Amino acid sequence: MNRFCQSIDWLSEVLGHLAAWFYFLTGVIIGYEVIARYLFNAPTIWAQEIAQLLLLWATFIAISRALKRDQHIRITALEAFLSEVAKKWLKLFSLLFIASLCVLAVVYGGSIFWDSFERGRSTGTMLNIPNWWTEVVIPLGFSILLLQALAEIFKLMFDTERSAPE
Amino acid sequence: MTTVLILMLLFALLASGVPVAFALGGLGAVLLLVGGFSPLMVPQGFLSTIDNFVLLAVPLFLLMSNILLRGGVGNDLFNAVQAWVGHLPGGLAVATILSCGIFAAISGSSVATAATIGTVAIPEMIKHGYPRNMVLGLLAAGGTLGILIPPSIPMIVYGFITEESVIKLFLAGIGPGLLLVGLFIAFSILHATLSSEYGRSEKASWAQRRESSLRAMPSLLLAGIVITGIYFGVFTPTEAAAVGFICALIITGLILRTLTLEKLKKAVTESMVTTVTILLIVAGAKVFGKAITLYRIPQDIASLITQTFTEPWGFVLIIALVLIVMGLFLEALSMMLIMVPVLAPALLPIGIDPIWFGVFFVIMIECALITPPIGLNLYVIQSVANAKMGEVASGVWPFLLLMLFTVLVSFLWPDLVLYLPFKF
Repeated sequence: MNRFCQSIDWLSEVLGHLAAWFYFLTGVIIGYEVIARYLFNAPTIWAQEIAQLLLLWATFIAISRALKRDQHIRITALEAFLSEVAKKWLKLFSLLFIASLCVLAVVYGGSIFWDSFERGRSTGTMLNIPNWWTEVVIPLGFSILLLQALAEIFKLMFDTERSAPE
Repeated sequence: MTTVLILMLLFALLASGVPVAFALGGLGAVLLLVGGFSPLMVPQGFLSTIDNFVLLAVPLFLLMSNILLRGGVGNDLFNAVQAWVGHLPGGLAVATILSCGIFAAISGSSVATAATIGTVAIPEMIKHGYPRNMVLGLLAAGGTLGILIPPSIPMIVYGFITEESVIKLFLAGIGPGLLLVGLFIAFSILHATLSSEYGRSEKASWAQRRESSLRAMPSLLLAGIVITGIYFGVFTPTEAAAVGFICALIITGLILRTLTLEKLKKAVTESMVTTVTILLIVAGAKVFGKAITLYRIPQDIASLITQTFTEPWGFVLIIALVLIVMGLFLEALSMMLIMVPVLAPALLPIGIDPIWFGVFFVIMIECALITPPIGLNLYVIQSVANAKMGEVASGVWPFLLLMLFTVLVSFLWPDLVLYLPFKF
């Protein structure tokens, strides 16, 4: 089980850093588009679509790292008044709540993805990207988030040392 | 009845520490399931929210300001402004506010503004004998200019929720932003003249002025490019953010040569964390918003509002009070994402311009950012200055009053907000 937690932690970290550079890349792409349009009078057909695709991928693969590091924005004001035990139970509730949302998103997001994948639907835009290139991020991102939530529950219940590789 | 129940459930979830994004998205999902609506709307809501060109501006503006922050641009800006006004009574405070205002024109986030200018200005002012409480309050408040003076991340989000023009919102923020800068400066000078604690800085020589101004020039130009480019339709806000990001790389990497690979990595990672957490809340709010619309809650609230308030001022006053109370506990952007979708349908019937309301909301968010116990900017200043929460909080209230005064002025004289976007 420790092995499992460590692998998920590692995966979330790697994906988070990948996402960070995806955002960086979207900036380069849109910046290039503006320069191409004004300086070379040659607007691209791909910049906007690719940038949006990267934005989607980056955002959904980075959710789990933020959960692991407890960086998602939440109200912490009331925690000061609670005992350690109460805090632990609330944390467990919170993680279970997140895990259930993940299951729902994976099941239904997965069915949207699978439908487009089987029928070979595409966007009908300039690049005509297959729809599933975007739709797959929901089941993918939330599966990883689910695994991370389970890992967090395990860490919480068995008090294992948090391994936080930088 | 359903409305009250749903709101109570939401606040229970938030109070128990469930992250805002998941509380909104999860409760939205529960409502869809209970109401017999298709849960396919959950993944679709998440997907369609992020698959959006306007929101792409969020990570790009964050990258731009974080790169400039790590590249030490705050230092250059503050030094340049200080060389011109530092010797006046309360001069360092004036320089601080001006630097915050200028950095706000580069950055869309108040945290980045407070952190960038605070790191330089706080030690400098304390060294010159400025009263500590006042210094900390000044920085916490000055930092909030970051989201009022364009670019502004909350305005991008507001434009996204209400489908209003982000460009118009940006322009609308300039008037009240300048008024606030003026009020903060006037207060600083008054405070300095009446108090004997202040030490004056020496007047800078012309050589110092020229040198420091030259060093700050690229960042000033960058702010100019971003705003005028958006204003004259040269590029969209998202493109402006990308251009700003590229320029930030060039300025700190090639011209000033202050950006190391290590600092760049930090800036990129920090931007990622902020982006993910913000965008996920926007997406969660979208799912929640869809669900409550199917329960006809915004419609009910809108008709309740139009029946109760015949005059806009009553409505604005109530909303302002609600926002002040909510702002004590809730993080700023979450507040906007929960409240605005519910209130937006009532605006036009009651005779309130949605652009004006957006600016009003942003100023109220600014207040929330500096009201204890929960105020993001208070935390930032606390950690930058190594201070106690009480010290920051006690220095902040005069500025809070000035911000509420600005709200009042903009209500009595809406052209302060609406002149630039509509009549210029």
